Amino acid sequence: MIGLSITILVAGAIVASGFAMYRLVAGPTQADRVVALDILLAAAIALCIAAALATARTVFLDVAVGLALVAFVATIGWARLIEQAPRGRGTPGAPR
Amino acid sequence: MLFALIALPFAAALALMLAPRAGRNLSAWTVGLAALAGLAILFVLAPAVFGGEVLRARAPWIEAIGLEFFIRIDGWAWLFAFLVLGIGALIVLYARWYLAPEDPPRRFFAYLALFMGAMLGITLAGNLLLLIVFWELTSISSFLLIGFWGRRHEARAGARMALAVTGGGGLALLAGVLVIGHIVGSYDLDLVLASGELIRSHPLYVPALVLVLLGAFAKSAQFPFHFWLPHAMAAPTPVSAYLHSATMVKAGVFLLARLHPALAGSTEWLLIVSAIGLSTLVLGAVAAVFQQDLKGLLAYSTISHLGLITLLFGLGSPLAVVAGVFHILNHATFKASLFMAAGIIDHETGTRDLRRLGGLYAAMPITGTLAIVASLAMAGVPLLNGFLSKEMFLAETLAFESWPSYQLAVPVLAVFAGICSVAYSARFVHETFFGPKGHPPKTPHEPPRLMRVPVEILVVLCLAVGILPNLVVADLLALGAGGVLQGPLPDYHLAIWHGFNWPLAMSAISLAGGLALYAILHRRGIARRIDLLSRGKIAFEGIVAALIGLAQRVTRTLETGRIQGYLLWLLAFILLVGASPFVDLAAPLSTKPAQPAGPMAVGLWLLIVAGALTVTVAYRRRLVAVIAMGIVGLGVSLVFALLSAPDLALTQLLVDMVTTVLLLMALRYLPAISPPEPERLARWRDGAIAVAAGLGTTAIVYMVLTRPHPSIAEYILATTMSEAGGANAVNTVIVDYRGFDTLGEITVFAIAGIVIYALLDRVRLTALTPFAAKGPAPHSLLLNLCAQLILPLAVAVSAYLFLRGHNAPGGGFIAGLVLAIALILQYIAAGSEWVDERLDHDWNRWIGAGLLAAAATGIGAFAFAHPFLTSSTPHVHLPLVGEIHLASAMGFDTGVYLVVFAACLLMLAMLGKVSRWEARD
Amino acid sequence: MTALATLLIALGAVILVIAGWGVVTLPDALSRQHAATKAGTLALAMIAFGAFVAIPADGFGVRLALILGFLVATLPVASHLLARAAVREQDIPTDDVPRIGGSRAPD
Repeated sequence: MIGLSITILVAGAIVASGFAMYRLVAGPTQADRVVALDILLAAAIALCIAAALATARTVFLDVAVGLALVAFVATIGWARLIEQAPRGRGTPGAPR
Repeated sequence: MLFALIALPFAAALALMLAPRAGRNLSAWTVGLAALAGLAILFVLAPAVFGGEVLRARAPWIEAIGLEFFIRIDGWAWLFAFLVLGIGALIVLYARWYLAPEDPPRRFFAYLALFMGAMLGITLAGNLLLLIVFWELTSISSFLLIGFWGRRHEARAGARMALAVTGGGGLALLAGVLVIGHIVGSYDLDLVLASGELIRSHPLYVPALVLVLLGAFAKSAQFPFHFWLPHAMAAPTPVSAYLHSATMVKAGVFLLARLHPALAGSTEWLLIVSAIGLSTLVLGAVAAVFQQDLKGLLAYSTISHLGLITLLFGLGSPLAVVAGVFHILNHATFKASLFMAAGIIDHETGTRDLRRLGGLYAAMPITGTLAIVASLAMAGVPLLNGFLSKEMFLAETLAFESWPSYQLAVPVLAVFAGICSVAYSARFVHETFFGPKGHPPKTPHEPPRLMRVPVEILVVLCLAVGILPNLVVADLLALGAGGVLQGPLPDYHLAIWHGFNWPLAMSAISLAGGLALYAILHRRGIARRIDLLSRGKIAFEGIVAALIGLAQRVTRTLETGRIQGYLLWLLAFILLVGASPFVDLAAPLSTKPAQPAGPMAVGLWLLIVAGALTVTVAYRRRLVAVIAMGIVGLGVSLVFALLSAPDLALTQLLVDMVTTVLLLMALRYLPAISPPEPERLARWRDGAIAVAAGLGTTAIVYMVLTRPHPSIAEYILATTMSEAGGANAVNTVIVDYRGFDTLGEITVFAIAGIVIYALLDRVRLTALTPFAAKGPAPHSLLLNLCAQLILPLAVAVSAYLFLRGHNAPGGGFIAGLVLAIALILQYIAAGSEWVDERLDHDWNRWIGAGLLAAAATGIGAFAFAHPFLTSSTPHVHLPLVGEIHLASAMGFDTGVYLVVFAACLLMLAMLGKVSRWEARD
Repeated sequence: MTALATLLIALGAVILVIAGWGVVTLPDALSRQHAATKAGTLALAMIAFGAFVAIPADGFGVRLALILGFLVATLPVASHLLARAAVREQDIPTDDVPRIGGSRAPD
């Protein structure tokens, strides 16, 4: 049973990551890309929990804690960067 | 106690460097006390040494190459150490009054203490390699001291020249010592001194001799390496008095005396050393007459006297050695006092130019008298110490037997040099203190009382030795000479009057001739008009300029300033080197059968590939590219997690995060328009190299994963709990098994942080993308609150991770990064200004503290007679808590933590500062 | 017990997929961030609960609680900032958005 749940979890995370990658590449605005990043990081956390389940060891949850912190700061950082653009005048790092 | 003797000055230097605000008095007292304590120790050891004993103290250092921390005090070492510490104490007193209020005293005295310790090290070293270590240390501290007034161009140029010449000599000396060690079989001084015959008869004797002599001559400013000394006069006068007259330049002749039993006695020694000594003697004397700078005159005079000493050691007879030792003592005494007097004149009148000085006797009678007496000693006038050693010198030149022409030339040239030395001494005295009043910038008057005291003491010594030699100095001389000769002393006795003999006549000729020469030169005013330019300096600067030109040409081809170019070179080289083992690969790539990959592995693989492809395709859109790079890093860390490496996964994540944030902050300064596309051929070439490098790396990783072979992992896993005291093998490898490696890595990290600090400290960057933010980002209460709540949590998590690092995933690196990330959050949330107001630390100091902690943990092992970085795992019994199993590697981990954390914060703070500047404009 | 755990985890995975789907198909950055943060948090919450039920070890529970607490506390903030970023970038007018304290906040 656990094995089944792990498989479903992994599959779900991978599919969600696939969606997120698409949005990352295609998203017309930078905010879309950051949203995609957020989903990706959530999927990564899910994968870590899956690994913890598979091996019944807590070390993977340590990695998941680190990931949660990193995910938060990353999302915030990117969002802040985009926010610093003057209204509607283009975004950092994009050629005109 | 012997170790204390040598450790004292270094301890003083360290104490001064760590004390934040030491004023003149505190700094001077610290170093002065160290010198006086050293002298006290010497006095305690005196009875044993005077009785003929040789004191030894050993400690192992790097046995593998024969380096041992061996302190050896015999008569000669005792005498010279006495000289170094005694004059050092006087110089400290003098310097305290000499330094201007705006000169940082802490740095000055710390460097001075460093030098004193290094000079003591040369004197007391019983192992030749140890001597070299201290030799180079004196070069470095001399460099620091000469360039003390770093804003002046001539100070910087002089320091550079001194370092280059003496450093080059040190390199030759190292080579010579290595050859001697090879001949004798050990670097131990006792053995070397006893193997004189062996060394002299060995076929490698001449190369060893030449190399050692090169080092000694470079340090003692002998011809043709003499040109650095006059330019070192740009140093503050206490430095000139201490280093460049009494001690550091004497290191070369000290070495000649020290190695006398080992190397001297052959014709080569006689020829080379005496010829160079003779030419230096004459050259220096002649040049000194025509100098316009007080200190320049004294510098050339020092060169000349050192030539005299070298000549004496070159002549080689035991009596000549005694004369040489005697002159070393006397010269140090009167020359140091003369330099100090010149410094007083400079301090009180504001100039050192002989053309502008004159008639100072009326304004500074006491200083004048002191300077006059010291100059008389320099000229070799009877009743002063210079006369005695000069007499012995002249007697030796007459007693010298060799080829007739040479045998005649030596005394004749010696007399000529004597004439010149009287002439320049007379010039020094006359043109400074007598004659028409000059136009110095400041009104001259007597210096503060305590500033004159060292000069008074030294001049009194000159007189005492000159008038009552047997009472004052005979024992010391016998001690020193005995140490040099390592055998019975020749028959001599010190007296002022030996009867009417040739040396007396020669002295009389020198005196009369010198005064006459000076009178002629002065009458015609020639001396004031000629300014002898030193050829050596021109040659030196020419060589340096040519080298710089070559280096610039090479750099221009390799360093184009474009990262693409660097990467190209790097990857091409790696490809070349890495491909060579593959050329004749016989065995198949893998020896294990392939295993099916689970869905997770495939998924991660897809993720990483997608991310990498995104970066390649969309690199012009920088935001996408950076995010995609972050995703690749994320994928890699998940792979680590999948392969049961949580430490690595965490580290990769955190590093990825910090890198991304720093890139974020830097993104704004990158131009919006991407650089032009390289033409197609270049693109194909770059693509080919990249693909080849990637394939190569893949092949290597594949081979490593699929070819099982016994690795060190088993040993580490077996012993990690028992010997290293920790269950987390990754962490114990970092801080214990491979601790030395980690020490190097955090040093590099620290250097990177400091470089960023230096680069960004005064830079003004304008954001190039069109969206330059004017003013801080819009405030978000929610974010601020959240960040403030997270911070204490993160601190707790960081501490937890740090403390458990030895036994579970965690450790200094990860914990430091976690704390750094928490503070990054603060920066993002509240802006750099807000954070800097509250977190205003000198991050450089934290980095230094971290490195110190790590190194101290390693050095602490010395206290228990173990090699560097040996760790221990004591079980400590605390009263309430119970028994705790500690590991000393915790100290090392603390160092890693501090360095990582402080370096990250330094980079952040610097970037924040840059952005604030930009916002201000 | 394991059935319950499997159910929870499967549900969480499905919600995660839905969140991804939402990010792809929703029309606007402003709406997409809802999908990412709210649905993502819910998904992770269910997965975490399921994991705890599946392996009720002590270490597991503490860490899962930590993860969950952290996510619940921070993802809303992330949502807030993403929304602001989206608004800023697309120049969506915000005059009709109520402000704290009733005053107009600076732009």
